[in-house]
Amino acid sequence: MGAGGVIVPPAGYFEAIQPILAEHDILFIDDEVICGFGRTGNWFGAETLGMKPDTMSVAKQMTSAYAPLGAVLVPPFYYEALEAQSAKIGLFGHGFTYGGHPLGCALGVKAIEIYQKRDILGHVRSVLPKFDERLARLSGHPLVGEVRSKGLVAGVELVADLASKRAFPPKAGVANKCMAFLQERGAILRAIGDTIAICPPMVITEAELDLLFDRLEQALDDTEGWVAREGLRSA
Amino acid sequence: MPLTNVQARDVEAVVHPYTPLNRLREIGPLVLERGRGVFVYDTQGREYIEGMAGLWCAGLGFGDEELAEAGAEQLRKLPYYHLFGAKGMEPAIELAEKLKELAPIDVARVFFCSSGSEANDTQVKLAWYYNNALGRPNKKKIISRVKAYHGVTVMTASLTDCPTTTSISTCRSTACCTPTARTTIASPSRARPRRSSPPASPPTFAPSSSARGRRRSPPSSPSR
Ligand SMILES: Cc1ncc(COP(=O)(O)O)c(C=O)c1O
Repeated sequence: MGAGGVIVPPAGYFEAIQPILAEHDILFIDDEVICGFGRTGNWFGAETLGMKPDTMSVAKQMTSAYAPLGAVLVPPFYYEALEAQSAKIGLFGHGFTYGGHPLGCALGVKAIEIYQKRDILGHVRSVLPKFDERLARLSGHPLVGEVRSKGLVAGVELVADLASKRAFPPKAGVANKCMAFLQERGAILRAIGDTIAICPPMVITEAELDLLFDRLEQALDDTEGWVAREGLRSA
Repeated sequence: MPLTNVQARDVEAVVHPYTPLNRLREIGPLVLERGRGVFVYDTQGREYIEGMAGLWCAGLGFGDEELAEAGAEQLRKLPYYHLFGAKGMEPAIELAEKLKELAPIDVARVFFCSSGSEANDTQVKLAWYYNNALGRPNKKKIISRVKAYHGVTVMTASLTDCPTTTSISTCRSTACCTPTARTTIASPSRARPRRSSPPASPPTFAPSSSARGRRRSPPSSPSR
């Protein structure tokens, strides 16, 4: 889960969940809006996480975001039901004016072609050791309570106390302050609560990852100084 | 720091999502002008390394010429058409074929929309439609997980576990998304009790007299 703070399921989670879904005849909808198209080093997060969903939602990287586009991948048993309902009701009464816009679809076709011919999945896998190494280094920072990642997406959670993982008072806005320091240092990431999300363009090189993480480390140091000056730990 | 001209225009004209609007003038928006690779540049020409691919989406970075050219070409050829009433067009067909080929699941057809929220909103409708078709009209509950984010439409916001999102749009009071339906299956130990309705809270805003006056202006006077 991305925008909730990059929560990574523990190994075996989906393997454990899926028999329960099957037992209770519960459809499994896979939201691939972030993980789709290479983010985790495979085409879809489902492949990385051992998921066997019934249907998937895709958007975002489908066009590399050069135009808005989303899609639902409709499995055969759904489509049969849609056909049957059309026979009964007259037609399938759902759709958007811009659904399947030619600009978005042309960009989707081209983006996927580029992902394939430039081997973007291979590139993601090749920079992952650097990404993971720089993430691991953050774990030593006095503000960093937890680092979570899967493929080329990560969450760095800031805490007031490393041992107890005590959180900062939400009003202090520590991660937001860190983002302001980071911007001054020439980098953009995103704060979600106390978590800093990292999800660079998949084309990022090792040298660029170093630059990004160097600036993040500096911003964390700036934040540490500010936390000390403001006495936010004692609060 | 005083706002630059373009920042001042921005704060007077644009609503910024997921932004503390009460502090926008003080924070000052970062107004971006162009991008290249993993870098973006603001209107002052300052460079930033962009570590979020925008909102987890610009996978090829900013300013990929080959991709931009494909868009420009399509705009010149057929800038718009739709799929309603059995109309079709090559880009949609080709992309749908590609998705069928790439997906790790069995895909019969592809339904296109414009965003992740619309895709997930459609998922809920399709699940209900499917169950209706099977004669199971009561099978309507959706389980989403603690800390999930699935979008901001009325339906998908109610599948999203983020207080600032649900406070603006939620259908928790309807049968489709009762708190039990939203109970986590991710990690039962972390499940928290949920209120069945939003907590009563004092109004945080009273419209100014001018705003109220505007809204009341009779529909018969199209004063524009
Ligand atoms: C996993 C996931 N689903 C759905 C959405 C909603 O997508 P959109 O903002 O395009 O409506 C997002 C957006 O961040 C997302 O991360």
